Amino acid sequence: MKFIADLHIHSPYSRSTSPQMTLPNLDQWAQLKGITLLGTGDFTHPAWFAEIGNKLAPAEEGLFSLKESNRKDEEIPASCRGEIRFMLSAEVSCIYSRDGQTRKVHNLILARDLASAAKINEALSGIGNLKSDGRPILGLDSRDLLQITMEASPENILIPAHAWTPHFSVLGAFSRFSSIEECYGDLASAIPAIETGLSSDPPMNWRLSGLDRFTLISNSDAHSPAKLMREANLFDTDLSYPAVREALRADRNSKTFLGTIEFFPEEGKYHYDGHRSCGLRSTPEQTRGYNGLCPKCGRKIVVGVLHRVEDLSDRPKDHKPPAAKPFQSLVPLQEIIAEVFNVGVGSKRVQKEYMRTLSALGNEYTVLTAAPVTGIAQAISNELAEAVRRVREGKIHIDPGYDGEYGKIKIFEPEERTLASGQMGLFT
Amino acid sequence: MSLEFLNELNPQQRQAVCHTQGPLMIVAGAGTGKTRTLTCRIAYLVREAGVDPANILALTFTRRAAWEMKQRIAHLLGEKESMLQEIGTFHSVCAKILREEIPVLGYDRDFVILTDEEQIDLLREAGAKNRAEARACLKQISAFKNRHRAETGAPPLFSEYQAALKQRNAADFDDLILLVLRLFETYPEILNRYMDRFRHILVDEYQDLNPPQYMLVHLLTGPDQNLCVVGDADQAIYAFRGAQVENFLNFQEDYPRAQILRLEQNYRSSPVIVKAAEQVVSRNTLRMEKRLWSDAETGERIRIMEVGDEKQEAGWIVSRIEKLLGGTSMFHHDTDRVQAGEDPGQYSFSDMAVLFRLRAQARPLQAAFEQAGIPCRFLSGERLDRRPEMRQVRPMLRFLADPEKDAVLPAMIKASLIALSKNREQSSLQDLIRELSGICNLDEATLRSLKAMASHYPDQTWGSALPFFLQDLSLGRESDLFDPRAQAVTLLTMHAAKGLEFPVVFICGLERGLMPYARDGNPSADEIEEERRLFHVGITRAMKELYLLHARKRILYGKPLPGEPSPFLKDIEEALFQANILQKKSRPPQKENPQLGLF
Ligand SMILES: [Zn+2]
Ligand SMILES: [Zn+2]
Repeated sequence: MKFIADLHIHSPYSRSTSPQMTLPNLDQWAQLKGITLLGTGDFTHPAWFAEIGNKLAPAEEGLFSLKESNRKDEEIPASCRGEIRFMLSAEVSCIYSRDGQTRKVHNLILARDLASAAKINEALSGIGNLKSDGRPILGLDSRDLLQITMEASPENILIPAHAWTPHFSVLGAFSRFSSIEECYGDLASAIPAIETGLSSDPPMNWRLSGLDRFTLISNSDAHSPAKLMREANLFDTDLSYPAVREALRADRNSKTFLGTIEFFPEEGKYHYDGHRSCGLRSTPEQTRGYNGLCPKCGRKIVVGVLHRVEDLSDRPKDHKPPAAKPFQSLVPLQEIIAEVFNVGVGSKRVQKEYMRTLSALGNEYTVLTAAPVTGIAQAISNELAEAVRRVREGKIHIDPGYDGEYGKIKIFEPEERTLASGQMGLFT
Repeated sequence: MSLEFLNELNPQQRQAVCHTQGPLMIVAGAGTGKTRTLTCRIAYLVREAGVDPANILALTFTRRAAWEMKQRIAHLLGEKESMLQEIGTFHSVCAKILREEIPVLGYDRDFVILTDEEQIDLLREAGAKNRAEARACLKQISAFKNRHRAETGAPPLFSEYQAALKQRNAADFDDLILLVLRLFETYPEILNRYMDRFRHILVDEYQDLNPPQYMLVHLLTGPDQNLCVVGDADQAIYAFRGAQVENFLNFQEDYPRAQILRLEQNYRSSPVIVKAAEQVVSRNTLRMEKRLWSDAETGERIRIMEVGDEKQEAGWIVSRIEKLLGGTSMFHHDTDRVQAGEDPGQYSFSDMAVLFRLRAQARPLQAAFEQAGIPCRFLSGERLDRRPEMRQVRPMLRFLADPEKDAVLPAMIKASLIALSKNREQSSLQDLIRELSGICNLDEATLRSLKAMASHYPDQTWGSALPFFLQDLSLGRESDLFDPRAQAVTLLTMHAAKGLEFPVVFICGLERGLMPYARDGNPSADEIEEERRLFHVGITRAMKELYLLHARKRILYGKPLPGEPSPFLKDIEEALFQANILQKKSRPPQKENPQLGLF
């Protein structure tokens, strides 16, 4: 079957994560979004691991579902309801030095079953403290983490998380590894995939021949429920851990892993270079022109993902390897609605319109990708229909993100809004 | 083999390495390449002077030091030959001798080494009224043994305790050395055998020898006097355990032929740090003239930090460590706690250490690290057998080692253990520990500790490995349990820090009453000198960056301290440091005072 999987999220036990990230809420929000398979996040945290054990029941091999008693089906519009499955996932922040340099790498782990996860937890609790953060900080070499993961079960999977972000990733500018192999050494062949992260999309990754053998996956890394599926994966295989694992490991020509749902990379926090505190956003060329130093404060400019990709790439910009997987670039529906109303994404009005849209048309993925534009216009508004059309066609404007600042999406030009209200006036 | 390693030594080190005959004293200041010199010397003895490796004995103070020497010698001589020398701590070498020779003293070869807890039980049987009294007695007995034939008479219950030990075929930790001394004094033929075997003796940390250890070394030293001792009077910090720095200063009187060589070039620390360390310790009177120097780059100035209290002290250290690593979580970047573009540099958690005077200071630090989610470990230097989990396991392991022995164990457990014994020649120590955890529900920490210790015996059946394993548990230290793959900030006392080095060192609690520590009232002049040496040891652990912290307010064991900076801080000249004051509460705790924002 075809389904959407978002395998990297966090629980409330991780720092700066919303208390709303409970298992019942996740189950509910996955349905609103159109996700079928969701990572649990944070299985390394003892309290969250216990909650997983209590609130979830075994379903298909290696997967789990929310126990009946915890479900909130009545709060979910009938148009969105679906069966959600969970897969055991966790993220570990490895901070260590190798060859005289500090390395900070986030790693995503997918566990085969509860017993394998428990084994990983036991091994890691001998290394450091798993209780103070759902995304534990360990002074452990990524290679050794991979070894521990694979020793717990050869079917476990380790995937370098958001592989390009400057501060905490394998290829990022500050970790200074120039290949997956350099980081994971003799064990690198056990890694089937890399997570491209919000600030990069597949074409950027295609520029490195060294990444050809990896499946390029995308996940939301959500810290609050509304952020689920801002990036995700499309599978066409059995709903089970072994089938998903096989799909990630499969040859590029196989049709079990279909591709990814992507952020526009410019919207990501680290697409461009820059200095947030100085308000400096720079393209890689500009940064090189500045000799890497901020013209305002003189400190080093934070080198973003695009720049780093250019540094490590061995292919031109438009290169597409054969059998590269397709992808869809989307903007989260709530952001589109906020743009239509010209209000903040967290406002009540956006929430209300979001639920109205889903009730009328189905889950978010359907609205964003499949619902006919005319249907959206009839059910909701001409403005939303037009906005969705522009997103689907990529006809939007984005001020790229830099140094931790998200990119700013503009779907409509200022002159398209009436001056008086600031609201959309083009169809009225 | 080439003697290429000689080229990597400085002239003084080379002289020490190539001196092969007669007594030699190497006065080695902190960070002057002592271990390298010692290990090269052993390699040189074997390769150049033709000494049979089996004729070499090297005595160290810690298992870690012994292990490090073995590693380095294996590197110089190759795995095989490095196995032939006897390199170990005083206690482990003595235990090994006793396993061979002890029957003449009326003990069995498989004598047991008692844990603290067992010693207390024994004293209770010997007549101590309660546990508190037993504990007090034990302290006196240990002090008496470590001073060896002190003028003062034996403490109460001493002879009863010793009789009970012997009756149980048991020895305590201190006895290991005393029994060997008795053996050598009573049976000269045995002494001669060992003297003949150990023709070259090397002793590390000679300034820290207590009287029994000192006597042992001198008994074993043969007529050729091929004795090489290494030490540093400025690092003598064990007077409270009976160590006598005078032994060190009097070496030339003991051995008039002795040559004395000084290692003074420090390779570890920046010149700023070396200077500060010298300025502090040169106020002492009881020392041997030497001048530490370093020709490394000048280095960062030392930072002296005044903080409000111990909580603020811990918080500041944690945030400083986060900064040194360029941020440890996204949070630091999102909140600008770490400046954008700050280079994450070269450090890892294990490059940093926090030092303090008393173990009691560890707790607020641990709490702050825990809260920040930063991996840290407290190297308490505690003996393994003092850990509660070991008390639970040891009787069972002993019973397995020798079911004939009386063991105070429930019949049920005994029965399960007897059943287990059947595969003593088939399964490994790891298997055994897994089985044991099934029998008596070992908690996670215990299980991990035992597995870590057992990992040294991968290819043996537990039947053959168990006696050695038991001895490891008796002589081991907590630090033996740490997973070598895990990098963490180290928290430790200045005593436990001896022999270690870290790129970044924080020393906290540098206040009057705590440094120098005034146990009860005013420390004596001798005690102040010892405390100053301890501070010197602390400072010289740092390679690149040194932070010295003192608080305006601190409660120690329920009593407030005066809150004044340690008088030792005044001995460091102003050019070497910059001072900052961290104000209290008025602003978020991690923000530093902007007027003084020199960092
Ligand atoms: Zn991450
Ligand atoms: Zn700037």
